[in-house]
Amino acid sequence: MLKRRLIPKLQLGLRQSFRGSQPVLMVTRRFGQRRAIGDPLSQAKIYEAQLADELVLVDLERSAESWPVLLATLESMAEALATPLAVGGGLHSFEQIQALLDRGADKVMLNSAALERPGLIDQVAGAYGAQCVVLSLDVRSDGSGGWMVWADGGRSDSGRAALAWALEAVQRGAGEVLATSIDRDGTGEGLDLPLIEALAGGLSVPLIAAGGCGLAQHFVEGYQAGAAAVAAGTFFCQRDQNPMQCRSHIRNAGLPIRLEV
Amino acid sequence: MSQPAVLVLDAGLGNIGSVVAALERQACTVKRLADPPGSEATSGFSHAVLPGVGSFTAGMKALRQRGWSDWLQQQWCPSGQPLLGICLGMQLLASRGREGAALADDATTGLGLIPGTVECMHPDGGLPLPHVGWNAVDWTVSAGSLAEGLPPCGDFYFVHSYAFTPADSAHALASADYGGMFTAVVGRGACFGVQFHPEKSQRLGRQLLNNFLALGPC
Repeated sequence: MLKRRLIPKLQLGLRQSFRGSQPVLMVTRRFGQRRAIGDPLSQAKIYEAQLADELVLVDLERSAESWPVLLATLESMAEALATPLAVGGGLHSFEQIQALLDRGADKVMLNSAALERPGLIDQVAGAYGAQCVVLSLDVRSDGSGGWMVWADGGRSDSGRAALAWALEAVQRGAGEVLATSIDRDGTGEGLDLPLIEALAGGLSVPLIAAGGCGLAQHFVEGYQAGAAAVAAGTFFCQRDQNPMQCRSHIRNAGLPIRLEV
Repeated sequence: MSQPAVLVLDAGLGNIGSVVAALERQACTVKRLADPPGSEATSGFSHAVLPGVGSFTAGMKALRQRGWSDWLQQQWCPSGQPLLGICLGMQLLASRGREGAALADDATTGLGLIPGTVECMHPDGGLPLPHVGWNAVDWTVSAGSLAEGLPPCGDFYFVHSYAFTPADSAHALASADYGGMFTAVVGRGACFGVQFHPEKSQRLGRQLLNNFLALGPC
């Protein structure tokens, strides 16, 4: 039986040192306020030891300065880990996607660039297969029961409705959809369940839900609403959250999840 | 016994860096080659690995263009040396595959090393495709030393929409359930294929690669 996936999210910021720009692991709140947590590679190794089903690596800076740091971080992770890696954050060209896949990314996450040039999805899926393309949706409630997709790390309204855009992207070749609620990001208030229900009910590909997990029960609610996977950053980074206890809680709720190798 | 010398076929079928990295963590020497080696250089290798993602048709085209299909069919496999196909690499071992073919009823000829066909999955209950994630792999009793030390239904990481149905059920060494059973591992002689990604399957994946490297020629 296929297991539900629990995916720690690693968000990269930059820290200046005498060796130049170094990667630093960050958590965010509502896509705004940031807090530095530690070293991405050592945290990724801890997550693998704790049975992370996949890892999501996001470049928060999305700049010419952060790009080589992202590549180097990915390379070191792909070398050290035997866990699937999805990578994204400000990707804008096919060449960047090739560079990430060459360095050990299993999937790339497309967001703003796909909104500007939807044909990029067709291009990547055509070259590497649909399993390689994750459509990343950063969404905000539109105040009347729907959700709009925001671009540029949550800075600009794309004017597109979440489900309609996700359906188009899947048609073009996206093999998974990662939906992050900007309003819930880093709050620990729980996932946006109506959003998950609407997307999982309408899509033919697996849905990864993110934004708002603060309790093990929030993961359970996300899976029950139809998510194949739940991703979280802050939840795993801070306090004394034990991922194995979280997995046990999910198993005890009657959901299939890995507990031991 | 000297360390295994592994040849990774780099036919441009997507990201193979992870496969190389996973093999490098094992006790073996690893070389990735974009073009087939001559017969003298071939004899320096004890194991071959064919990784890949993408479509069947594009994959076969790439293998033929670079001369890898002839090398596998005429040099490597007749010698009885172990071969491991991973994901698309497993599917390409089949006689025929439909993914990426120009017409719906067209099929592309595969390597034909293990008789069978590769077709799109149709999971019951409207389950989403691709089949992505960790799923239990149920080994048959005849799976032999490739399954050595692996638990009966251990989880491995899958990402695919097409599946391999061997013509002879004796060539199916393991199956998994995703809205119906499908073949997760095939084997015939020294030629093996796994639909999942051992290089992404943490401890059990390492065990499986280790088992493969322990195989001798047959």
